[in-house]
Amino acid sequence: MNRLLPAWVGLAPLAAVLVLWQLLAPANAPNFPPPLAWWRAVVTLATNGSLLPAVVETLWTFALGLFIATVAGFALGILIGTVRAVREWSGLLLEFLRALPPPVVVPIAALMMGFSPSMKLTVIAVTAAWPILLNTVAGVQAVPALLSEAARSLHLSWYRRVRHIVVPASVPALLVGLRVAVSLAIVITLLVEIFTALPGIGVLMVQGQRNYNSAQVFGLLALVGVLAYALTLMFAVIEGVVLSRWPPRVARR
Amino acid sequence: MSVAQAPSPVFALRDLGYSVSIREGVREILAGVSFELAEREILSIVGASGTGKTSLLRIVAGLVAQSSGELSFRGVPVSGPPLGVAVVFQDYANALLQWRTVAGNVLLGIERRFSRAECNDRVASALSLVGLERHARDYPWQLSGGMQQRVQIARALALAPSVLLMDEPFASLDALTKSSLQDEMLRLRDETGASFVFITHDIEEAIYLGDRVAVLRGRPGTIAECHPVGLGRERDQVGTRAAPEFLRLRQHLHGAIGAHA
Repeated sequence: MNRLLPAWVGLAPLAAVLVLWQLLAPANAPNFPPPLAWWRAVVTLATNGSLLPAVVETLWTFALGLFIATVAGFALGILIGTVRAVREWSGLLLEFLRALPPPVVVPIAALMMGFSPSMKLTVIAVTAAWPILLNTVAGVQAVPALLSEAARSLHLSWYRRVRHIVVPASVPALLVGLRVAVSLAIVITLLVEIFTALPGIGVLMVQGQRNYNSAQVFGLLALVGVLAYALTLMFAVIEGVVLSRWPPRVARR
Repeated sequence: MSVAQAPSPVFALRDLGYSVSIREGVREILAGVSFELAEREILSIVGASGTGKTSLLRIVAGLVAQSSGELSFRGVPVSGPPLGVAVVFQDYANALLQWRTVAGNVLLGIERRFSRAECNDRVASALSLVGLERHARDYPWQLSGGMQQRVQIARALALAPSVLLMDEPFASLDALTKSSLQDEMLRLRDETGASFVFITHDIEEAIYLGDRVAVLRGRPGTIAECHPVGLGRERDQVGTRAAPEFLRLRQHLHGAIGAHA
């Protein structure tokens, strides 16, 4: 692709808004503190030692939850896509569960499991698994029938057909699902932290809000934005590396 | 030249029929199909589209079961893909594992059956038979259509099959690639001693490659006629195609396949 401008130019409007905000807002504006005040609030959190553990906790929860979601979603997706009986049996159930908005899972999980770290992980895993699961099922069903016939004529066992044909053929679809799951998992991680006061960035945001420390809330919001952007970039790189073995037509999907 | 000898058939089909369920009931695809495939023979089966060519090949390959009649491979009724039979499909792009290297594709059918050293030998010799030894580590999608079809042929050859079933293998290739692969196939027949069932809609290709040409015709499709090709085993793209026998057969088959029936 032939870019007319470098990609970072896209960030210019955001930068312009921040600069204007800084210049136009009064230094002590209670509800709309200028960006430099955000920065000072975040630095304060960092120096009093509460920021780093919260960031680590949030990132760790996100990563673990997403990992569980990926493994479970992919495995279930392969099973549902491969075994026709399971697919027919689970079809309606999947349609129903998929229609539930992810945040409503939080109160149910809180009731069932209490405000525990495992509850946090469960909620993230359950909600982030959906896009992975559904994309994987679609991916399995898009495997060319000819490929399975070729494998059978080569005398591959059912297990080896799944392992060598179905699973790798579904990886591009898995990655499409993963792209959605990454942003969903970030949202849900923070949501659960805000909702349950379990440690993490979300809690710091709630604390800031309750203490009328709006600079802290804005600062953390900006921090989350940067973290999420970095994670998205990281997954794009991973995706590119994995898909380098696939035809460009598939990889571009 | 003509030694009186009763060769044992590799494949024998007796009164084979195949039908599928459709919404309006049952559609007969094949009916009363009978033929035998001899050792070291290339049997071309030529037919217009819709005569059940691909169905016939899938049945012979053991990928689907016939609805009626008998099919045996070296005297044993076929139930599932027989050992020693390899299939080459027309749609090479979908028949290959695009995410596996060329060598990985060729290895697919043999990796569990032989030692690693034996596998490596077989992959190397299969790739050199089709002239792809320098592309072992490429991915199929990086290769041209003709080369991808060679990968599929190498994957079949790695099994050291006694029969290759080919379903319009050269139909989606350009004319030059097609004729060079045709000649490679004749060379492979001489080097491996395998038999071939070669399915095509191309009359000239059927004659050029075949020791016999069978005509699949009608709906449901059936083997309407079968002609020995009196051209000897040595063929060449220019001379053979100009030989009187070639032209005679071609003219006859043009009428016989009944494309407008």
